[in-house]
Amino acid sequence: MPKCRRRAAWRGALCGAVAAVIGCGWPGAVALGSVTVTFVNWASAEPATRPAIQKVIATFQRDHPGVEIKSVPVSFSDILHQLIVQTTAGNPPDVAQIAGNDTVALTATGALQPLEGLVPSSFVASLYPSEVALGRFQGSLYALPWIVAPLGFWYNKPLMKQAGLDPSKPPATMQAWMDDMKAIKAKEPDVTPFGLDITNRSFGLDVNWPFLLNFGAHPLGAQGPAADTPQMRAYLTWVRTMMQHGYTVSGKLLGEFRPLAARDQLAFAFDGPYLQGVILSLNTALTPQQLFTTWGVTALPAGPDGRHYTVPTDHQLVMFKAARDKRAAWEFMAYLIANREAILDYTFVSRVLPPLANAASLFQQQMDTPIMRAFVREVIPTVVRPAWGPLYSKAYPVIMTGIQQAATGSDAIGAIAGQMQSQLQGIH
Amino acid sequence: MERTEDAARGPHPPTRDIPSGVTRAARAPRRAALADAMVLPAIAVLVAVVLYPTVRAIILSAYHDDLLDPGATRLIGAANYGRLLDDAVFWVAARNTVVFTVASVSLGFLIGLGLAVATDRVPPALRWIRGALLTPWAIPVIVVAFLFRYMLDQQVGIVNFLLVHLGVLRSALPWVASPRWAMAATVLANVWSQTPFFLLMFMAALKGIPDEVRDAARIDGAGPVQEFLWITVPHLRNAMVVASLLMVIANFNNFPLIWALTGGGPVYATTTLVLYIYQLAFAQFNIGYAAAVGTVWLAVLLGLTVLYIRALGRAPLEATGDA
Repeated sequence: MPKCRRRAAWRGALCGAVAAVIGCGWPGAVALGSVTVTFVNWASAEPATRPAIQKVIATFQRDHPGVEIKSVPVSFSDILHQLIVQTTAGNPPDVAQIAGNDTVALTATGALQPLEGLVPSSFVASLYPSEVALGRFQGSLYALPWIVAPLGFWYNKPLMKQAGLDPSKPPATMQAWMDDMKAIKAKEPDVTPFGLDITNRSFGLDVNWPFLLNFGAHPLGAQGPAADTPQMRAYLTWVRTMMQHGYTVSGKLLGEFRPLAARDQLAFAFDGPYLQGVILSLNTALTPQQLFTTWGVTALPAGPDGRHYTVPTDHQLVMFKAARDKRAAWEFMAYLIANREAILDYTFVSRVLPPLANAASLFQQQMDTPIMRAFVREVIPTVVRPAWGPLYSKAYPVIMTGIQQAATGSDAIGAIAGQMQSQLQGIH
Repeated sequence: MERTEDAARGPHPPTRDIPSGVTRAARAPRRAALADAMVLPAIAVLVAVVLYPTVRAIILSAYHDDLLDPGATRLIGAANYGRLLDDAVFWVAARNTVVFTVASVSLGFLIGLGLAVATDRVPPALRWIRGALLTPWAIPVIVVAFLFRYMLDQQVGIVNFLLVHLGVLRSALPWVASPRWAMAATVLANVWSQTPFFLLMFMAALKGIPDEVRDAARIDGAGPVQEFLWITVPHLRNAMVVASLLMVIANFNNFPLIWALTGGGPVYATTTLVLYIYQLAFAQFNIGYAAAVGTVWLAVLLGLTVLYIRALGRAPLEATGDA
């Protein structure tokens, strides 16, 4: 065979082999060639989670040589408007991290890709059904749970003990809790008994939602706005009492109470499982074991109806209709949610729970801690979904402004509730 | 060539320049056209980045345009403007904008003027003080906001710590978390950040006062107060007008400092028009109504800008007159 023919034969064979690989699919890879998946997220915007997400992305790219992940950091508070602006401008990302009412609001814009047909039903079946339900709207699945993080009631055991309270019996009712805060304030005046976030943001209303339910208040009820009710007035009175007695301080984001928790200057917190990671990163002298002996977690104290409530602050993943390569986008989402390496490197490093229904058996070592057990057994069963939706997006500034008025002003509670009601009716 | 022809015709003073002038006049339209063409790219950019968004915003203000309900977009005429009249938050924001702007500019003006006069004649060894006083101007506004947010914090802020330990306060005040104090705290941070601008403007203007004028005033028996009132202030008048108007416009637009310091709260204590527009557009996604508020805000700003431009136009004449 002449030399040039032999070369041509080799070239042909090589091309054939490449074509076969592309055609049949490469195990573990999406496709050959360069595919870029744009991923808007706050995980890479926050110092606590940035190294972990960068590591996971690097590992994914290593395992999927044809796919490049372009991570776009956007802060948690800005992510919804950033995504809506991008979508309106015709330049949405492929995949985004999202949470709470933002997921519903983004779905309402019509920009998200329904995931049925893209996501195998076996994959969906492997996740907590209650977590999957948070991503369903009007019958379609738009978001998948990435991390599970309901707000739990944290109590500082040494501070309780110093105040003469029994740390093995955290308060189970609102009344018992108020008594505990009174005792702590009297004994430790420099300690902030509780960190209540009343900032004017959608997340601020999420945090307050379980307290509203504790008083039986449903400001965005199915029958329309119901802010001027005895239940709502009772809740607003409670907020004012909390401020007036110095049981909390106004104007702070939930995250701004965490440094106080890390310094044992906060007795009670209503925060997600990620508080573990934040405390450990802020107080580097503390070991995980010491953390477990210092802090306990249980369900939020119950109101008069005896029920415990909390809200999810889970992080979800969504895909946009305009995603250029939906298969690559899905591969990336699936990797973040369910890949063992990704869960170990990101989910557990962030000290939150994976959404896998069998997580407790798959990750025994990571899940078998007092705090993780408390979240699984005591907190997750109390999760309720706030009245998320477009109305929630319009109404939260009115409700939070009313709460701030009650907390920081001296106007009559009835007048504040009446004002909220008329404003909510205008929106409705 | 032209000169040669002129020379050949002999001296005709009144008409000698006419041929030359005609030639220039013939060239002038071409030069003018070329000059106009050179401006076109800049005009195109201005049309794209200023005129189009402005016109688009005015058009949007006539629509019900809700990004969370894209299917419901419809023309509603002047309804958004009608809604403004009944919108209590709009009027609170308008009042806050005036309070924030007037307080910030007045205080910055007075402190800047005082510092400029006080440091005008410092000995060379102490001139570094002027540089030090200008430092806040170099600090990004967002940094200033966070700086004050932490300094004024109720629990860990140094301001409360000092005031309580000095006996000025019995207990720490929630400076940025109380509707009573939040605006004052915001103005305080803003004045700290913007006073160096006034200082800079007044320092430069003070250098323009001739020594002879001061000397003459002193010979005539003027004391320091009279010298300030009758020599310094008139010479600084143009700088005062220009600096004040510029800062009025800047403070009308001030977003980052207020947003980072208080977020417009608590309640609506520090919500200014620019923050309200942002909240309507990017928290509630009510683009049509946000555009209506923005259009009103733009009209007020345009009025202030016209004042500023007129003041600038008058400045050189007055300066000549003063001199």
